Amino acid sequence: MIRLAGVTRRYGALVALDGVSLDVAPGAITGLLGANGAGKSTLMRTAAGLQAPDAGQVSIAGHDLWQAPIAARRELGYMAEEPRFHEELSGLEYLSFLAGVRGLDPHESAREARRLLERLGLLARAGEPVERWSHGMRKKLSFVAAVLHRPRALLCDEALEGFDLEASLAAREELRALATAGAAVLFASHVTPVLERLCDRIVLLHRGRVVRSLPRAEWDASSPEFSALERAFLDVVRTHPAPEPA
Amino acid sequence: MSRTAFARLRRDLLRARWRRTPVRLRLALGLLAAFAGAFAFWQLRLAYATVAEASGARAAGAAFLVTLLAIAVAGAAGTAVRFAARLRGVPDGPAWLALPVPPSELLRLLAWEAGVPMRAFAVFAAAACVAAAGIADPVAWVAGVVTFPVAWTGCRIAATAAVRALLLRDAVPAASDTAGARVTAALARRWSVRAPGRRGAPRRGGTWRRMPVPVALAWNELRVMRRAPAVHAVLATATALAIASIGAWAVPAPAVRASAFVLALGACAAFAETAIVTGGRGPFAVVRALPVAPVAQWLARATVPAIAVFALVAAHGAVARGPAVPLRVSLAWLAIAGLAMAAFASALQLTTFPNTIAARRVLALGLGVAAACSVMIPLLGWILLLAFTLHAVRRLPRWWALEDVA
Repeated sequence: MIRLAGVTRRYGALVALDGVSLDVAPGAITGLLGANGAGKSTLMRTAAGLQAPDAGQVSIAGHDLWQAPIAARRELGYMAEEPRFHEELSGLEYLSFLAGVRGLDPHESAREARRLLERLGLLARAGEPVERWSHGMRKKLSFVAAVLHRPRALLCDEALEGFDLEASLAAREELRALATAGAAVLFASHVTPVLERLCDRIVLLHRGRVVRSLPRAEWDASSPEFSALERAFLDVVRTHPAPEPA
Repeated sequence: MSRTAFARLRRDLLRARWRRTPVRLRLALGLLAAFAGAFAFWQLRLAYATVAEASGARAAGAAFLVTLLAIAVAGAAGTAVRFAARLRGVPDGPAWLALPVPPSELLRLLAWEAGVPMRAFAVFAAAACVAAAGIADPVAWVAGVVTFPVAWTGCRIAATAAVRALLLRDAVPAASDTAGARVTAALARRWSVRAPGRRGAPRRGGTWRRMPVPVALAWNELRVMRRAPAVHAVLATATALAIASIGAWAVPAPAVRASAFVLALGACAAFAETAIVTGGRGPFAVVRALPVAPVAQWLARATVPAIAVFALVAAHGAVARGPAVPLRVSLAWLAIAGLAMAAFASALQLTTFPNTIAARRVLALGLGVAAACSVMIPLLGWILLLAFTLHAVRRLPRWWALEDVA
């Protein structure tokens, strides 16, 4: 379970998150949809503990992120929108480091890492330094790093961006398997087709506020022009126009 | 057009960096600069007075002019080194070579970037001017004050031009033989991304072993240290100082032997700096999302420099000659100081992460102040170093609350 309660986050005068309350249920993939600048990445970074909220609380699998930071992070997997690594290390070295720090069983984690890398088409290059990798390969490595320890809470920020089709399908299957095993998955994106196919519920974030929450049944019926989810999203954006510049 | 845009960029960069420097850090840096200036004033005043007493005001004036020239040369050398480093790797900012920018403007920007931190030398120049006032020959003093900005600029231009000339020397033949095209071609060659998956690429499978968290972190530090060129430069300095300090015992002159400890302290400082540079290579989002207590990270980060300090002290113990008790005391001091530096640097790295530049500056200033205090009042520097270390370590629990630094 990922729980955000009244989370507010400001950057100077700009309110990026305005009292956001959100429960991401275990056993399901929850989508987070919003326009550029809606606050998705801020929400993900705040939920991952990369920045503290100005107000409100974040808890991961029952642990308060700021009161019990280590226990919370033990249950957490986070995939950043722009992943960064120790550029000098190979993919396998990086994963072995994470496995060591997380206290995973070495044999099991090595096997799991190779399985995931193979599924994403990365195993052949996994022994090379990351500095030689393309953007898509880095995103895939970041995905493997986020799910290697089978987290109970997973935060994916634009996770499948840069994936080729085969890897994208494999990653979606992995996410579904994680959710089926009981993980709470929060998947942020501004690409509606990805969310439509992957998620069980979608939360619409607009100007730092959660404005709607749609269960799957609400967007399954599609029209030729817009899907139901796209229509709902456009309704939200158009009924909350941006204020005129001062 | 470009020139105006670049001038605006330089101004905007300066403003933005000033704005993002926290007020407390500005105050701390200001205080440290004032302290360094006061120390330089005190030392130079004594030196000029001694020269004036022995050889007259004109000799003191000459010493003053030599000091200013040395400052200008040191600033230019620093600028040149940093400029060359910028030309070796892809610099910050947009994909410069994809922009319709004259290479001369780009090089000017990189040279300017390289020279900005060197402006700190102005503190020493000002200290020299104040120290020489009333002691040095007035004509020499006025000449020094008036011509220093010219000398400073001239040295900087000469140094960056030399670096540029070196760059042009290894330029590839370009389609056009104009200087601009040659520079662009040379920059493109230096900054080009290596082809992925080229033959002979190293294959590394990782270390899949169960180990305690600090050991896993320290092991990773070692691996990064071995491969990151940025760490190699600091490590090379540390190793050179360490070898020089050990070698100093072989020289019969007592003064040279005394310098063994000074060199060893320098080596310890450089080893401590490797903790900052290595730790700075860590990816912020990964490190912050790990279930690892800051104390474990601190210990892991300090482990490698601490081992280096112990090895250095052991080497000194093996080769040092002299009365047993003072020697043991000196070695103990060296070990304590080296460990304190490692602990200080490691804590600084964590509490300022990922702002490696700030951590390196605070370390350099802190150690500089401690060294200056040691010269003024014996033991004061050691007390200060331990106080700095304690202060930095006390800030570790706040690690979780770091904000918006990625």
